[in-house]
Amino acid sequence: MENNEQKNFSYETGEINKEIEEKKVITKITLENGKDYFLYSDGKIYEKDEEGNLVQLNNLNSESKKTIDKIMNKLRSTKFDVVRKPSNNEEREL
Amino acid sequence: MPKKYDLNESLKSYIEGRVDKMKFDDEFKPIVCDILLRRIHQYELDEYKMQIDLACLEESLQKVNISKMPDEYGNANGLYNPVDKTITLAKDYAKRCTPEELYQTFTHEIYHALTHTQDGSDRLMSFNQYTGEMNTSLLEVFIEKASYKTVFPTQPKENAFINHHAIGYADVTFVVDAIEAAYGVSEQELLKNGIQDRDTLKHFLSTSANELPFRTEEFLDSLEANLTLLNNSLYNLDPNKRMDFNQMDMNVKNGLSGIYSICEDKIQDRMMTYSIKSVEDAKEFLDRITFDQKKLTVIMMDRIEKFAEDFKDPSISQSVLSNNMSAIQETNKRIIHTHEVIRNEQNFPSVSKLITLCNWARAGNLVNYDMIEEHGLEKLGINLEKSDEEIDNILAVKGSSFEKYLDPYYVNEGWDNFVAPVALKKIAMDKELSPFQAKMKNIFTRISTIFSKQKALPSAELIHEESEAASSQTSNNFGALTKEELEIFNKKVERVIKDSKENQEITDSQNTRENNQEER
Repeated sequence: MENNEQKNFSYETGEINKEIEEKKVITKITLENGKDYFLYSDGKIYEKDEEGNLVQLNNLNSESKKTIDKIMNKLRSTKFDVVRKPSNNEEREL
Repeated sequence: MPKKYDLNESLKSYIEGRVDKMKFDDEFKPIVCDILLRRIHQYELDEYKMQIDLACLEESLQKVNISKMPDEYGNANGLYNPVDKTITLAKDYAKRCTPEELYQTFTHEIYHALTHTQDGSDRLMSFNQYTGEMNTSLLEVFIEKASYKTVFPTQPKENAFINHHAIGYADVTFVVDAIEAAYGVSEQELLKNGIQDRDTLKHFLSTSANELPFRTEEFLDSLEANLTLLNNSLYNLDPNKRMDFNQMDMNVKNGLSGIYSICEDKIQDRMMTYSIKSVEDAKEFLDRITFDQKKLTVIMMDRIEKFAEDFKDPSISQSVLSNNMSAIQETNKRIIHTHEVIRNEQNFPSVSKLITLCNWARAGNLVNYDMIEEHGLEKLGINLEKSDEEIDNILAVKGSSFEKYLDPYYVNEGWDNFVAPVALKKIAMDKELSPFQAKMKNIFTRISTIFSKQKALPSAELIHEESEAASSQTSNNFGALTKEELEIFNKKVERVIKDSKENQEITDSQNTRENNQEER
């Protein structure tokens, strides 16, 4: 059990108060360079430093801004509709 | 026996009357009526919902084409364009697919048109709080699944837990099944609410899980973000978003991992937040959660294996499972511990103590209970060390019987697909004829229609009665013939025969000319 949940656990009744907000990872995005980024429920993008700590990508630095745009672009709906079931052999060559 | 969905004559004629006034081509109107009747029947739409559907359709559909797809949608089988209010069915697809497949694609597109309001916005679309965009991924899988259910039967023999068949988005409609498992709701109820609008879906799910609506919104938005990763990799038509195989493979791993994790979390949330009222309630709840966890396992394993095979990359399975293993084990542990508490029901001094220990178990804390009461678990006969066999008895997917949770709508014997789907296919095939062939075919069809209507004419008295009844209704493409109509039709027959003779003369003279040319 995560720490937040233990904090909210009632030893008397065994129930948990879930109303305390916690930051959750929404999805992981791996870019072409193989680096992993994480979109969190606060709407911000994080990466992990060498020690495994989360570091927020800031959008002040132009390089980071570019990376954020690239990541968010992967999470945008593209135009599609009842498309043929993809034949992966075909798709792979694209 | 196929489903009977068009027995309500007054509803049928009302729908026909409304559709008849719509702007798109007459030849598609009987088919659209059939689609609407199936939707009303399958999703038990009330008068209010039906009226919303009809009002939207009146505004949002003006033309149906069976033609080449616009270049930018080259890979699509069907398309609804809310700007020019047109449905396009791809001609090459229409030619080669079965009538049922074509009808389902058309149904999918009609469902899109049904949810577009007068201002062109989509009732199913929603702003995603995490991506900061309007997102279409989730609505597509709902529409695909819902339209599929109104055309094809579901055979219980295939799989008691899932129904992942679809034509478009076949690889991703499992997300609807995953939502069913995560929230413990039936397919029928989920689709019924899912095709209305996003708020209705949200309200339905939050009520069924007894959670605050913003929690449901978070669930749907986070699921949708991961689904978009999958969709953009598998169904991408945007040349600016083309990606190489490695990137697709990576997105599939991340998207599947995310979807699995979000659904697993939701099952844990439901376990923790449910308020147990009695021992019976605890047993029933545990049965339900156990079923849902097994269902989610089956759904996700099915997809993980499918993608690993399609991409010829076993690391997809390894990656998705290792990313989610601790969450899966945590849910399984809570379920097994709660089972163990209930199994020892007879050893508890009071109901409240049993409920308290169920709460400890479902919160994942039962292992710590001895800290509160020394040898507390042992005194109650609870043993948390379980063999693999014991765990399998509770959570193994095969050989289990959970019929009571299966959706009664899940099993159906199918639909009568010999009329409307075949008629649609016929329209599509007619588009393949040359203009002259099409004209000749049209003439003969008109003649045969007129003769078949004449044959079906009732007696003179009935004609009189019907003509009085008809005078109070709007005339449409579907009604029986009145006396006046009969006269008009007789004139039409004469005209058609005359046309036919003229055409024959033209053909004869063309043939003579061609023969002369060949001889020369």
